[in-house]
Amino acid sequence: MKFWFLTLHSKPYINPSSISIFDKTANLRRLLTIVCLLTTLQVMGQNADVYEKYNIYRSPVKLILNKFSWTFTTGYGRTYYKQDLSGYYFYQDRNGQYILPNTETVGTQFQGYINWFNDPSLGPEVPVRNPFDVPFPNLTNPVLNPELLNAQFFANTDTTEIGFRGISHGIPFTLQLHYNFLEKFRVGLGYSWEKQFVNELLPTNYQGVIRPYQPNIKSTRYSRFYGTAGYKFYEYYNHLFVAELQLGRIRSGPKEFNQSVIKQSMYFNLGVSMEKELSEYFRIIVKPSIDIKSYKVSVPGGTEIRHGQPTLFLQVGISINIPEIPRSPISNDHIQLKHVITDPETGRLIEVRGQPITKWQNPKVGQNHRKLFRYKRKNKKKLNPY
Amino acid sequence: MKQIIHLFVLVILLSGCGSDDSDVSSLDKDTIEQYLSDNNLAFSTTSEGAYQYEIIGNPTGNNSGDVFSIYYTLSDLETGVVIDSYLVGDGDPIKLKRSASAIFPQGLDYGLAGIREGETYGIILTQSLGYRDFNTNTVPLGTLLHFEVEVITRETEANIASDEDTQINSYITTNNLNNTTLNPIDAVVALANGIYYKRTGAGNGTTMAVGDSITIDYSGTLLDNTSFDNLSGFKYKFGSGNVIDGLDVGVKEMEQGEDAKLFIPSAQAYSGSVRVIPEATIDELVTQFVVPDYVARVKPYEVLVFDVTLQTIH
Repeated sequence: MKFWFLTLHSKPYINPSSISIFDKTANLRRLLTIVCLLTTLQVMGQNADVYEKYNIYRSPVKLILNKFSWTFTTGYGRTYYKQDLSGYYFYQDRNGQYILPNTETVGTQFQGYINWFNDPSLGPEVPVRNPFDVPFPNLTNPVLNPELLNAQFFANTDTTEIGFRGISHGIPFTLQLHYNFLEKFRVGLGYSWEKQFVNELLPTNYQGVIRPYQPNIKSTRYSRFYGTAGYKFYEYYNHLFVAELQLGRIRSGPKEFNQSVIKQSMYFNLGVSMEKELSEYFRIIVKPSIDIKSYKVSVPGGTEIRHGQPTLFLQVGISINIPEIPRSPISNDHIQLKHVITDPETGRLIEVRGQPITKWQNPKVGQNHRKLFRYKRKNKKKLNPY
Repeated sequence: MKQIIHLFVLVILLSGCGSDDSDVSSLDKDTIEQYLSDNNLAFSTTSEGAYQYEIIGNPTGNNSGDVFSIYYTLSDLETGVVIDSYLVGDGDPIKLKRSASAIFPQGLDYGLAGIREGETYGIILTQSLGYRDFNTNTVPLGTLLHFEVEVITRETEANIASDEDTQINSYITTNNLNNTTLNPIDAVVALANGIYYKRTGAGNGTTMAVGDSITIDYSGTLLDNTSFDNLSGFKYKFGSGNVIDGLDVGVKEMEQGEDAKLFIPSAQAYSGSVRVIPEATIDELVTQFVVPDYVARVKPYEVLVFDVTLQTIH
């Protein structure tokens, strides 16, 4: 069995002792030739020729797949909802909150819309009259009765600025596939699913008078399909900083949001993917980003109500590249570097890995020897833990 | 040592987080007690902290019934400036109901405890029992209120209801409402719970059922013909507790298109309402959600007269 050591990574490496089939002079000559060849090829970026020259087989599918990175991230999302109720009357009584396009005529009765956050529907007809005024019933224990804070409130939002805003929390799960090219660039596609817990929205004005708006849903989900482009703008040893832009479509949960009256905008996401390379194929990622998006809700007879919903995300995850070469199939092959073997099944020369994908493939001395768990924590200072 | 310093700083910080109210209250008490001491007034305090001192006693006077009829003078304890008063020359004593959270400032409610008919008491309130942090033009923030209250009568609401019934009948008699020639079309009918109903214009025979949506026009006056409210096209669901009981009971007798006059005793309307002293602060207290809006229209134990037109029944 012959092992050829050909590192095709940053520095060509040849183990002279392994080419014992040549005589010394020939060995030296051959070695120099290979070094020169590999150096030249590396500089020229034409490593493929080495494989052609020595007829080393590599799977073309894996070679292509290796150019793609698969990324999975999850984390925390904080969505800032803000409603703009311009163009509406806002009415609140002790039982509810209602809006009505301010093109309508309001008499002594008011029948407005409820649930304008996600599913506007016509509310009950209510008298436009303060429920604590004549001729409505009196209050028991009237002085400083907390019920008084539920007083009727009526306003035209064209003349009185009224809106609601609030923060909801979410957990996103994102899967992304991108193609790396020209060293620093990447383009790709992704899908993200977010579980969001919807909180009440506080009034932007008249906080002591207008009650918080309570959406009629406790949670919802958002799914995003997007295209992405990125540029690696900084690299520090094994740390990469990549500016990423996502552009795509977002869809709210159809059970919670009435899709027939909701227009969801395209969404943009700007973020910085901070990646630490643990090996050529494996990275861990921390990614802060911001989603910029909004949706509009149509109310019969009224202008569309715009709901801003930018989201701040902080996600962590992993990114892998599928290796272009397999692990050595030979059980007693303990060589640590990438090397060439004769495939026992096909008889072809193939390049194989000596390391799992989570470790550097051509380690320097001691590089992949992690400290064992038994030497950590309480045993940190012991010479012989066990 | 460092831990001790940290603990010390923590204690200082926490002590700084204490409520300022207790400091203010303590200062108020000092001021009030100094005043009482300077004037040689023997005082007592209620469990809520209102100061009482006797001016004119009447140990045999009636001390039952929560509805008080009083005259009063209200002044600023520290300056002696009279803020408001209602005395014998101003008319019949005003009524207010104790122990029902129907008096503002609330300290007056507490301070009236135990005072008998015929007695006059001084009642002094700390800020927390007075206007608290509610800012009004008449009572500036931080004023220590000093009442001198003369209790004329103490009654029960049953007595009040009886009096009101007498007032209504007197009004009916005085205004010849049972004379259908002078005041068509029907004589006055007594309904349940002291409500009186007089049809003044015929309807078309259509009557209502509970849950019907009805539209009425009304004008509301008191027995002295003072208007307190009027409204056209007021729509509500009949029999659903959406309006005062007396209005529902009276309207029930009406037909679509009919006009009627309803006499509603306070028990079927706003009962003890809220007695605010001084009255000039009511509107400001309404806007600060201290008292309901109806307090600005209807004072305690007012009989309401509604002239109603029943427009539609749906």
